[in-house]
Amino acid sequence: MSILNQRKAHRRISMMAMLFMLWLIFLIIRLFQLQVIEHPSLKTQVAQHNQNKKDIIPKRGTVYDRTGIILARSLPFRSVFYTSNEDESLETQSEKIKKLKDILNLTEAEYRNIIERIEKNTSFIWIKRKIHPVKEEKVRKLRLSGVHFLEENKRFYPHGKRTAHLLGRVDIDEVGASGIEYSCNSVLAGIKGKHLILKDAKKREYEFEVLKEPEDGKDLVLTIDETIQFYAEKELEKAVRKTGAKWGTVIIAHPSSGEILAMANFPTYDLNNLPQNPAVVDRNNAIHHNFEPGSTFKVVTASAALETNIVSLADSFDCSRGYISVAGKTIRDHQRYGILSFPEVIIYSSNVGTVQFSRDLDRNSFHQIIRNFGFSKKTGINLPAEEKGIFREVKDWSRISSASLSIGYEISVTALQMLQAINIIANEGILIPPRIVRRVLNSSDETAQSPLPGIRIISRDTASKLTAILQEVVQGGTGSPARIKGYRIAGKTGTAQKFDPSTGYYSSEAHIVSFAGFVPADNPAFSMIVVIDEPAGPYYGGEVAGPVFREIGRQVLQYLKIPSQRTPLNKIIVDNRWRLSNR
Amino acid sequence: MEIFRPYGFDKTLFVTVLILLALGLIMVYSSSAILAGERHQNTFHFFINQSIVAGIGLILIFLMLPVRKPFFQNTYFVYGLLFLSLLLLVLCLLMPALARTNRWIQFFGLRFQPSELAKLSLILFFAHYFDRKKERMNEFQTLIFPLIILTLFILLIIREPDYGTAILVFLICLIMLFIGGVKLKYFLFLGLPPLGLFVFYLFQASYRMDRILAFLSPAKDPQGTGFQIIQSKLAIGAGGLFGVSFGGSSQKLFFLPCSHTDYIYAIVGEELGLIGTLAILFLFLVFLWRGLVISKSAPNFFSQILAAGLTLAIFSQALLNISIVLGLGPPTGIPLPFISYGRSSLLCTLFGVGIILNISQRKKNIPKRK
Repeated sequence: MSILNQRKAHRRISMMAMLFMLWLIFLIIRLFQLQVIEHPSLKTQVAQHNQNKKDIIPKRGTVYDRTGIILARSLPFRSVFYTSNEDESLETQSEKIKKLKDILNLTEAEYRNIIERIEKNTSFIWIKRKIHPVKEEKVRKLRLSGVHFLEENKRFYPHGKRTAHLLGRVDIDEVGASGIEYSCNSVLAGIKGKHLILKDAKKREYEFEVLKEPEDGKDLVLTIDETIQFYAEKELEKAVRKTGAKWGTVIIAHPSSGEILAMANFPTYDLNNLPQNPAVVDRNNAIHHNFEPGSTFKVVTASAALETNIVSLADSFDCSRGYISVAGKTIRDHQRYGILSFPEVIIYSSNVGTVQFSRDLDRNSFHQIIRNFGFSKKTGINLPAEEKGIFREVKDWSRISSASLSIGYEISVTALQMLQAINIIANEGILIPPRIVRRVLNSSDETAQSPLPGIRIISRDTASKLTAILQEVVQGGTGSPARIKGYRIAGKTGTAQKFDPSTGYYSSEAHIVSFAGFVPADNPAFSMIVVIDEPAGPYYGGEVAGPVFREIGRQVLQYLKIPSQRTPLNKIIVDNRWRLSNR
Repeated sequence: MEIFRPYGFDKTLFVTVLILLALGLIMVYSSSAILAGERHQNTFHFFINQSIVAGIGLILIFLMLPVRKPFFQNTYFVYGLLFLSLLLLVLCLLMPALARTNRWIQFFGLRFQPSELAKLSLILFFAHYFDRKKERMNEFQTLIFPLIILTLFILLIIREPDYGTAILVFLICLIMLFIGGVKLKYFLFLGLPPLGLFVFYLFQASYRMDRILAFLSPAKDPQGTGFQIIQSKLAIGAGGLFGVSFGGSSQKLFFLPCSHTDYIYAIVGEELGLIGTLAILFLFLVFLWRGLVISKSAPNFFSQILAAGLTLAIFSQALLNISIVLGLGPPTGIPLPFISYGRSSLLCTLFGVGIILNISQRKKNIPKRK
């Protein structure tokens, strides 16, 4: 009986085991499904909730002027963030944020935004970025749970407003937004690193693994001389305020190397305390503003006329009527000059004389020479969004175009382009493009960049003739307000009526005035252009821009220790400060 | 008559159990170290506790092995154990609640979960009872008593409340009834009262319904009731073929609740991959095979269904646990035998293994027919 029972039981046990085997097979299939088929997607999901890849922000490079003064640098600043906690009630969490609100001066909108994010259980919430160390200490003392600090860098500009337009600004993430910060962003920014952060379910980060080391940004040395920049800005501000002009810009360059020593703008803004609409104020008028240069452009016309031999220094022109008709339009001088020799036409800036001597100028060669002088193309300076001016092709010229161009109308230029053109005269006919970055530090090649190759535009002879004429402009012509005692200055004034798009005519009230020149005329230490827009009072280039040139020039000459030319001195000490720093 | 060969026990089964135990201890350490460090300032807290019980369990087995007299067949022992279980279960309900449940009784700082002992004593009881009544097995009067015992136990365990264990106990009882030879038609009559209890208590607590709904669509509330189901599946899946390396689980970092107890298999899956999960299934399969071989060559009906019952109970518990971990059933607290952290469970399971091994030393005194 027992045996019978045992057999029966064995049958049933076997049946049971079979049933369990089926169950087991089912589980194996499920294991395959999860661990083989769905493995990739499930693995990603796990990584999503427990891993975070975060950038390691490299230190942004420092910007120096040519003498080693720091113009922009990044300093470590802490940012406060909050990680919300589901286990805590909204009230206790809001209480914490409220405490922070008072310390960090959060606006009501910022506060509400944070609370909203806590309600949504966002894990990472910025409270305030880049806070002052004193405030950081206060927040730390509160010892609030969920409040954390992240070390970031904050861009700091030791000189505040100075060189603002040139340096430009960075956004909150330290990405260049304008100026050098923008154009050299890739050099300054360095290369972001990456680290992997593992988190547990309570959102606590417990492991960091650096996947890629960051590469710090490289330091830049600009061609700017902070002292010269200071003179330029100081005098420009004075002049713009005095004349009630809209704005003004000054560029100072070293002609033979093309290096920009100063680039000043007024009005300016504080880089450490950006205004509400930085995109509006950071317009760098030295390179972003196209304007009709007027008489300053006669330097180019005269060069073209001399180069093509259609005029000689001995030629004279009848300017006694004070006006000239070209294709039915009248071009006027502001006074009657009588008979003027070719140099006198330039010296007194006679429109009538200029139109006469350039009348025989071939359109195509005139067009070509203007282009050769660098107009209607970017100078290639390493600054963002440089304008290239407006200059029509010959086929689009009207009958009056040639005459208009000769006196600096029907062409728009930037201040930098105009300075580049003056530099050609200073460099005895050779164009050397302007540049702003002198060298890049911490790189394989730390040596100063050699000047870009020059291109001969006009003959040496033409250049020296023009230099002589331009000296006379300052000595006894329209440019006399720019005169500096003891130095020979070559320069040219410009007074352009502004075209009023609303009326379609040139305005008799709004002018843009300029003065461009170099000093000393025979061995230029620097060249400079001053552009002032819409001065409210007297509007002649010589009267408005000339004194600015004089005041800045005087100080720069002293600073660079350029000896006065009145008494002959040993040539050896005639040296420039940057040449010494070339070592 | 039977032949008793002291220490002639089934070595394969024993070694299988040892491997499972060792694997279990390692995994308990791996999955609990961080929790233990945080809660007890000692990463070895759970590992040490589990090791001590494993040691006691093994000593118990070695003490049981040389016992010639089948003490587990003794009526006093069987009913004594049954009564003790019942008493402890009742005591449970009177004890102050732990974690809002009355699953444990506590004395002298030691905690014990009587429902674990209940499983063992019920198997012993059914084996003993059917052995006695095997002539009148399928009579109505015979089945009344087991039905009362069964219903009483289930009621007490549900009241703890421990719905999952109650279901497991019910399943084990059904296995015992089946292999004991109860005709299938009686199952309806035997199953109805407990089923009634289950349905009644299912609607008693809203969280039970929630769990079942969460099981059917975990995505509905991934942060709430569906959390464990989703996290378990993620852990298993993240392991892939070879796992993320031993100790490398990220799901154990508080993503997966109960990662060292009921969901330890998920951590095995994550750290050791398909290799690890299949290895554990294989070990349980070996356990089943040896258990059934022992049952087949058992000297009498009692030993046969007792060995088979214990084997199948442990095996089915493993399958149930793994099914839940793999998201094939609603989450309930059932530990994985030998592996999961749980001292009562481990001790009772090892006691059961001791009985199986003791039975393996007993052979029928008849020439083997091949």
